Amino acid sequence: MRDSWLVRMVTLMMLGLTCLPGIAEDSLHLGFHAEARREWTRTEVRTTFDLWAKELAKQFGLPVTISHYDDVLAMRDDLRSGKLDGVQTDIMNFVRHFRTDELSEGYVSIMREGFDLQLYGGRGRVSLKDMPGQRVVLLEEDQAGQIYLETLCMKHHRRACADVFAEMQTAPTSNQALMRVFFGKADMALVQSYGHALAVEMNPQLGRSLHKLAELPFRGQFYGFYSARVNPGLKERTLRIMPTLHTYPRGRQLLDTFKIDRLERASPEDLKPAYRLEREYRDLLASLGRRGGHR
Amino acid sequence: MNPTDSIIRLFPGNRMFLRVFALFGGLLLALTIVYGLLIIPLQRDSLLKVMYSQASTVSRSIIQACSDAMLTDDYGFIVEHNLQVLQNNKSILSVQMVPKRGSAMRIAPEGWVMLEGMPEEFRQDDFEQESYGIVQAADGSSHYHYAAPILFSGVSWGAMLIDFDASEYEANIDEMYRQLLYISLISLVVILPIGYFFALWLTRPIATISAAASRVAHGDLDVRVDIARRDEIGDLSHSFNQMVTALADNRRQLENVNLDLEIKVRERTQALDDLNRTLDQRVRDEVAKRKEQEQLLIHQSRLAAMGEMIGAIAHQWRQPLNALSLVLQNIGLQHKMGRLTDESMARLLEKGEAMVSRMSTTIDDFRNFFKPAKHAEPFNLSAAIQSAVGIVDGMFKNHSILLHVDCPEDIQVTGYMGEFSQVVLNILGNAKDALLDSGQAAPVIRILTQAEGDKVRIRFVDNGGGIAPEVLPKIWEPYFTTKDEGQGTGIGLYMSKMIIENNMHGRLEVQNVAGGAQFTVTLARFA
Repeated sequence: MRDSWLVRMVTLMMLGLTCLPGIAEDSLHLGFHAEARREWTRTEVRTTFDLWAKELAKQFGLPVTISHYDDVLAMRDDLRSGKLDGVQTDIMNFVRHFRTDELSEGYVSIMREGFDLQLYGGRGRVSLKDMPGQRVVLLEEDQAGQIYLETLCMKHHRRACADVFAEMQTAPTSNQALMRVFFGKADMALVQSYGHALAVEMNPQLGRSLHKLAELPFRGQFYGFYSARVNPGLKERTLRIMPTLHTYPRGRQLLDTFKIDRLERASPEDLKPAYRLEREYRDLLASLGRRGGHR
Repeated sequence: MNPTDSIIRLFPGNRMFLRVFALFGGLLLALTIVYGLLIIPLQRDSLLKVMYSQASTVSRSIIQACSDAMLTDDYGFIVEHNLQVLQNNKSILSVQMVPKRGSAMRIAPEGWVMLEGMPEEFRQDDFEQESYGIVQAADGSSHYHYAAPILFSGVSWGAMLIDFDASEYEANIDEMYRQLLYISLISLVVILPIGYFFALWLTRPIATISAAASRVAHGDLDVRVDIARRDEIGDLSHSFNQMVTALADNRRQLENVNLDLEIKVRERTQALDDLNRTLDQRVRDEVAKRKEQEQLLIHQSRLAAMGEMIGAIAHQWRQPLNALSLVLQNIGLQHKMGRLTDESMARLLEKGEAMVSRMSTTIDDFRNFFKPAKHAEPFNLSAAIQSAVGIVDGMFKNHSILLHVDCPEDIQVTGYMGEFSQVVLNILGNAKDALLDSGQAAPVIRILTQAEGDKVRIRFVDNGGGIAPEVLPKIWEPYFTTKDEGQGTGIGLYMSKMIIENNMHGRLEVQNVAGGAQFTVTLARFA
């Protein structure tokens, strides 16, 4: 429905209203791009975010409305038009669809063990040179991980991963990905650091059988940024509250729902590692394209 | 009122109350406990069945979900799935997958691990059949352990061991015991007052009746019980009151009867006193009269005996007197004829003196016979009989009465010999009279003496035709005689019976035998 022209017209009309000074002061309108992820259905995701909005509204002391988007570009447009005061999505969506100058400070969901991308090999696979002919397993819907692995393949073997690995699998969780390596169903796994930590905590034997082959530090996977046009006072007022969610029971309950430890203040500068990864990937891709090495 | 008094008032001091109270309370409490103890095992079984059902369902669910993974050895999926199951079911403590090929793994909410060997809880039978039950873990906690074989198309893949948290089960059991305790306590609390009032209701009227009965037993017939109940106890109290009323009436009647009796007794006592006052005199008079009669009898008896004796002396003296007369005639004749010489005179005088001496001896014998003995003393029975026979022997020969005596020489009896000889003389005299009256051609009297143990029996048997039956009952009465007037005194046999039975403590009996009568004297033999 949001893709229809009628809706867009209405949205633009409303955007004009919400951009009026004073109105923005009285309410906060956020856009969430959240697809059905892994074991969560779309309804579960949206219901959870609605609950979050209500909690935030209570904490902020002003109305908070949330719009859910399936299309990240539509959400970006609403942000640019001023309909939204802030947006939240995957780090790579920010890298690929947003400019840093249209974003201002926001927050990032943090896991204690971090979201670093880590490539692990099973017994006998001790370096990136061992990649060819192996079976690798990636996380589902992990854009950063896919780009990182492609970058590694192109960087070390001058070929796309599809040409380097004998088989590329996906797994819904880091734990499952690593267990496949442990049980010999795969030879390598690209996971997130918090997932690896959790899997090793669940089974230390698993940790002892894996070797880390490569790593790319990432602070977080999901970010939320305010529009650069949002009232600084309002932004500051909310950003002081959000990092304190984990300090009280109701806030911890919400964080647990999303399986994250806490929220931290973030700036668009935090996206730089992802921008660098994206740039390197594109450069390598372009380089291999010119040489005809990429299929 | 002090507390002790309160307790005593609260608990009536009768054993029946305490017994009923204890029985009622104990019975209800025991029923409650027994009911609880019967129910708890059933509840325990039900809980175990629920746990078995849960375990079986979880096991089937896991096997179904992981069947592909098991067949393709995708242990990662198995672990992940079981972790999800554990996450969604907090009562599962662990799942252990034991493949026949490969290593076993233990999956718990806090993590999972590949086992180097078989799980501790694993038994080889787990590959074949399911087993289940409450087990005690090393940390002391209780687990519900469930083991089931994993089969695909009849081929065994391995086994699955699931441990459930049995704390809820234990808590339920504990709760049941706690509830039983509470119920027992509540029952006790409820039973105590109910039992108290029940026992009171049951025993108080009985105690009241008992107390009233005790007062009645002590003579208080004014007591009544006031129990207005429409049951057996009410009937009992009513009957009790009726009984006490009847007792009181009876006592009054008895008192009246006693009063009448006392009056009558006093009257009779007065009459008796009057009678006693005259009775002594009467007895004295009668005794004197009796003594007088006895003296008279004795006198008469002696006179009769004297008569008999004089007759006997006459018989004894008749022959020597004739002989003495002949001696005197010879003396006279020889003197006339001048042939009386000194020698013949001396011979005749000697003969005459012998005759006189013989006559004198006869008198001595009779004197001795009648000499009364003052004390009972042993005497020879044969001598006593011969003494009497000697007196009447001559007389019996005159009447051609054959007297046959058969008496051993060595029999001694104790008594009065003279009186005994008098008895023999009386019996023989009666026999002689009977023989003479009967006209018996060959009259015989036999005296047969026989010792039998410590007794001796003397029988006098004649053939004089016996005694008429109508006479027999009267034969021992004094002054009774069948002889013609002047022939008998009627006191001989009476005196004989007195002598034998009163003085010598024996027996004198008479009976008819063939052809005559038999008198039997039985005496104690002197050893």
